Amino acid sequence: MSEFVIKRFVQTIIVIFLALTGVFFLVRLSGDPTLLFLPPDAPKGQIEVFRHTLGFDRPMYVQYIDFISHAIHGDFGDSLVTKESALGMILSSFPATLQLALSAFVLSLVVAIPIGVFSAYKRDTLFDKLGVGLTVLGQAIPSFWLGLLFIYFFAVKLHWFPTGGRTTPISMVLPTVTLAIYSMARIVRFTRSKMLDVLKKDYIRTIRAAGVSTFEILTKYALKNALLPIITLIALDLGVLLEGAVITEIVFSWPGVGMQIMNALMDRDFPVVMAGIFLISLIYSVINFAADLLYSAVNPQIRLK
Amino acid sequence: MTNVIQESDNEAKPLPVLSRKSHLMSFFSDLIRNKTGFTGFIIVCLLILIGIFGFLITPYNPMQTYMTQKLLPPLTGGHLLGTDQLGRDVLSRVIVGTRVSLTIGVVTVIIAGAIGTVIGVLAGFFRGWLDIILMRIVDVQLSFPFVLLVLVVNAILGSGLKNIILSLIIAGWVVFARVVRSEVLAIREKEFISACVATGVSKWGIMVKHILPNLFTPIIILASLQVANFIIAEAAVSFLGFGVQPPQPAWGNMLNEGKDYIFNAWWLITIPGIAIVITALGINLFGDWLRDELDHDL
Amino acid sequence: MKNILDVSNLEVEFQTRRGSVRPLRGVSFQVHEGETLGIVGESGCGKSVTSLAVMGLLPRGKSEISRGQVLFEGQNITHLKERDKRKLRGNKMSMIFQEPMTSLNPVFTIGDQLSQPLKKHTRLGNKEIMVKIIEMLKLVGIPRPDQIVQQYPHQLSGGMRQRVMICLAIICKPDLLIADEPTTALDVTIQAQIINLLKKIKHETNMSIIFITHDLGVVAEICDRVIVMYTGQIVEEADVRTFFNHPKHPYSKGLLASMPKEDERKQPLMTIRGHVPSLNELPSGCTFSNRCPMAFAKCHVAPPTVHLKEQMCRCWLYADEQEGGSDGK
Repeated sequence: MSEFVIKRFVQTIIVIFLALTGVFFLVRLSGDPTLLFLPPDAPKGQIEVFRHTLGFDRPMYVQYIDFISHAIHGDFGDSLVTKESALGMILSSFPATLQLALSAFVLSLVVAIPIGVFSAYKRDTLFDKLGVGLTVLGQAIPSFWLGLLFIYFFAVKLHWFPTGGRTTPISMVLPTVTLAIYSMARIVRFTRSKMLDVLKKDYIRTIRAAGVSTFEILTKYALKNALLPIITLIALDLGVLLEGAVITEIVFSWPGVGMQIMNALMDRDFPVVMAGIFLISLIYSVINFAADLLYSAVNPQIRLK
Repeated sequence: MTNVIQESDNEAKPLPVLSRKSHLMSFFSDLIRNKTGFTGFIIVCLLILIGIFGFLITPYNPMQTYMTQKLLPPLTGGHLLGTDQLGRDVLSRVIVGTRVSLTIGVVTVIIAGAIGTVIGVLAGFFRGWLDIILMRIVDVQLSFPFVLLVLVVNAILGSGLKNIILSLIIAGWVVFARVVRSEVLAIREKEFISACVATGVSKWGIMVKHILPNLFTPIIILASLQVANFIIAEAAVSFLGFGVQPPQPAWGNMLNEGKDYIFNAWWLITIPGIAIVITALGINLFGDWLRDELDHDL
Repeated sequence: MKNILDVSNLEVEFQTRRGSVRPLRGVSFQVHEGETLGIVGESGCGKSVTSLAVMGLLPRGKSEISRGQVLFEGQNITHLKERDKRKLRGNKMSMIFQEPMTSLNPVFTIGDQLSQPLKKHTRLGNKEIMVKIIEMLKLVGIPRPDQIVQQYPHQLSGGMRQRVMICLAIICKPDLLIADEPTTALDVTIQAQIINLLKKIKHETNMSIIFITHDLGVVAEICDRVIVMYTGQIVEEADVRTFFNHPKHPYSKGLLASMPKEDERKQPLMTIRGHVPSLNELPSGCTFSNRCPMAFAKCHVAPPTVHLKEQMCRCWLYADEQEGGSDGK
């Protein structure tokens, strides 16, 4: 157990470190990062001055070591716009993202897993077919467009909710539902197919032969078997949710990390962009790490290895 | 004799016997029998036709602005799907947008798929340091959400058609590399590979003759589904103001322009979105069917 | 002797992607009280489908009993409601499966899985259930049963798991036990132990057993009566002595000839040529005719069921030897 945890932990640390490296190279993808950090119409002289102040005229390895040593202390430089700490700005908008992602996550789990299990139980009935149809449709609808439609119907036409922002509790509803739907479709589909897989197993036949009812098999036995792959998917889905949150935030002007990154991209405020995508990558890696631990906790076979 | 024979009537019913059709024929007959797969196939075919020949059937020039005919609702003024804020015909723009979306989806998948396949095969086959480096790159890249990565890369490289394609390739090849690598590892373990090694087939011989052909199916399945993902990612990035730039029509930037008129022109935010959904739905339905069908034959 | 099970003219239909097939095509047999009936035949002959149909465990939605009936202790259970069938399963009739490695749920402890039939079919409290489980685990020869109940299936060997499976099947003292190739997946030494265990259970209780196998050695050791199945039909039925001494059907003869014998070590082993045809490519007439060394013109017509003195056989070769005409079943 502990050996597995340590191994996964070291792996996670390596990925996080490499993600920093990735961020470092990302802004150098275009060749000259100086141009990226300046307005397109900056005069030639200013460019050279700026290059020097940002240290982009130093050798690459010096820049790299400098970047990493600052970054591991949480210093991604200051925002070019507000002159505040870039990471600080990102962190201050993080609670809003967390709130949105977690409420959407809870909503999609509470709705999707029962539907998936019931769909498998009522396989090939009207309920099942309707459910499968909706999940297929749900997966084909991009969340940014769904958000746009929701704004049109529920905010512009019906005036039930505000079109965006994070001012009243009710302003949470539309972004949460938008974000939950995509992930819901995936979880329903996956839960259903995993349940059907498990129901084909020999050990389910054994327990049926012992006289246990189908409903109990589904809710107690098969669900626990199917839970392993479902947890993995859900954990990975948190990552997808994070991605969806970025887009959803922009559509609904929800003041989270995604909105912050988007604004920074518009303003060419790259220290903030770097801090933002690093934070998201960090969270994503931590989620994966946690999912693996959870997975091993439910699976006795992995735990004992 | 009659009282001797206790004939049960069970043998009477002849059982349906399959005639042996050619592989392709049975492929298509399976496709027609499967309603959802066939629907997906029809949608994909129509999209391809519109993508290639669509410019011949556009009722108006998609770039032509008519300031006198701004924001006409669908079915008015001779515009089936209305006009936008510059008086351009929405139907014509959606049709031309099909070509942009499909081109981006197909081109990026082909290039990203080719790069990912080569790297995945090399890593999976030779293992060692190459594999370690590759897997770390894959880990890192997968720790950035796909659309966000495309967005940031595109913002760094600059907007435009070429750069959005480049961004999608940079962000998208890892999925192929990972899947191909794990397929190669799985195939390597198969008995027929051991048999090849035992009979003295060279490493390259094994790779070209035995491993590559077995990768075809998983790559086709992955590629077909990735086309939809890439198209949606492009639309998202263009919707956010990067990616394909106006006046060139793409579904994403049409939505971006349309969202400013959400209070008075519903068709500008619905129609391009419907086009995206139909495309994604068609590709997913066909891809899912393809996966089930090919997996079944494996 | 009382019949525990009376299966008549049972027919099962499977829906596949390419139309329907019938893995059982009119099967009739009885199991008497306290008797062990062997069902033999190659893979794909309908042995397992027969047992699943009796247990009501055919895959839902894709398969159904399309004709015939199953009487269990005089009660017609062919189209019994699932709820009522559940009351029989694991209680009055139970089953041991072929694959001990996959037939136990990996994420539940042995104790948890063994407690299920007791929870469903008895009113024992938790403590009494535990006592009962440990008693039954001892009976099936599992050492340290009080520790085993806390363990997960993957911590046990194949032989141990099969003992647990047997324990699970007999824990409610059923009247009918169906053992579907219980030893096939095990090592030879373990096989012998499991057979001895089943023999012991047979002698200590008055359970009727259906023993499905393709190992004729096992049949000789444990069964009282044998039915031979081929492509979903019974081709021969006889008591075990008659079957081994005077097999009638060419398929039975082939099966016996392909069994190694102690005194004929130097001779090459006989085999039946060809293989079991797939269900949608059955030959017309006698389905064994394409592999039968004695096939003749008549075999293109479906053969009669012939009742001989001590056995039943479905073959044209014996059509003239019928005992006292048709028994009119």
